[in-house]
Amino acid sequence: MNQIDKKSTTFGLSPDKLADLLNICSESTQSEDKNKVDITQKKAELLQDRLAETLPFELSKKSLSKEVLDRLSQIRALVIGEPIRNLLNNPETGIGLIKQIKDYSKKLSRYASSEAEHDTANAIYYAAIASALVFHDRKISKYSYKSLHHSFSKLINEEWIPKEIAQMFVRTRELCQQKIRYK
Amino acid sequence: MANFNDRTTMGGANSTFQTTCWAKIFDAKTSDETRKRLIINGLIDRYWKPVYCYLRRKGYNNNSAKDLTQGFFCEIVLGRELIQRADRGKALFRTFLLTALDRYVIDMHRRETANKRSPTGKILQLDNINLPEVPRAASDLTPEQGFHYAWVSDLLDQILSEVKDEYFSLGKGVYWEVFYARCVAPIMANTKPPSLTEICAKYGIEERTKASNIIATVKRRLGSVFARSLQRYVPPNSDVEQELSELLRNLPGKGAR
Repeated sequence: MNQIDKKSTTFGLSPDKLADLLNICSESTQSEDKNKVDITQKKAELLQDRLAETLPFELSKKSLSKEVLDRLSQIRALVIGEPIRNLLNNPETGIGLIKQIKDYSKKLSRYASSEAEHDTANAIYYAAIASALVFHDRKISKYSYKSLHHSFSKLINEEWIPKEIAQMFVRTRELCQQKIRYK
Repeated sequence: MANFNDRTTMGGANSTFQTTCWAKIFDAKTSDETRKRLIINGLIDRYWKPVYCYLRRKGYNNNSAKDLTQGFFCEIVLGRELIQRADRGKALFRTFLLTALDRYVIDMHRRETANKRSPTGKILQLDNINLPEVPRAASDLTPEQGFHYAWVSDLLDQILSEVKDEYFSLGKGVYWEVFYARCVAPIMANTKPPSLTEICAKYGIEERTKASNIIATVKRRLGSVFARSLQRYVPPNSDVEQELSELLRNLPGKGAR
């Protein structure tokens, strides 16, 4: 994440001004004019929220055996508190953890109660598959490369997908294309 | 594992899958030394600046405040396992830390030690950090207010940066620029906010209604990120509104209502 440069840091403002900024942040959605939140925006925001979350501990415990957990405990120690976005974009993230993210997204999708929730869960699902392919050259999905190529092609064009994830999808699509070609 | 109050509805808008500060604190009560150190280092990273500002407002000069900050985290937070003794049901962690810091300063003063309070095996490398001067605007604050001031400032910087990055990563940097120009820059620079007409002319927006909607959209998003960020620092069963009131109460002037 980029830091706000020195010029725009709030450190140095008077306490009154800090309070003014706090109030802006906490204001309810009283729009200056009527504002309808469209579905694309909802998905963009929900995906950002999901990517900023950390992997739930309970989920990761239930999905892995004690043996595997013990082996992974060192890795878990290193990633505690890491947002999912960082895990997906980090070549050091182990394949086991990427699979946990994929499982987590499947669970999100299962309980989704809206199109936005379903589609953002789907995006994370494919982001996990992409991460495994790009950084580990491993396919963690039963879908064929052809099917994955098709799915990533669709996702790349979605405007609610943030740039860094879209770029990873582009790279993944290329990899899938290579695998199809050389099969 | 802590059965912390995860008010999550799977996939729901109020999901709290994210690890709260309190959950991290509880997780620090582990025998796994590597994990403990990583968690505690994360918490120190969040709180060293407010601690340092508190000490500066107490009247300590830069070097003394630096030494005391390092001493506090080493002797009290780590040495006396302060975090492990925190009771998440009772109070904000910030309040708990401030109480411990207050006691530490009183204790140090009482001891009147001449030794440099720079423990071996420093866990906080303040030597290489550009330590902030307590700004003139905050020079009348009590030490407790100084602590809260630094904490709030860091939080605001973090969420403003996060929302800005979000909009730029979606190719909607102009949304952020419009909102910033209208709502944030005037506060930062103490100037009059530009009119919607001026905003439209500067950013090539066709009409005032659209500019207004953009501003409202970003404001709403900021509110959502703010609530999510704040949620990490409240005990279970507390709400963000309460925490916000607490933050405002600790800022003197307009903030204290």
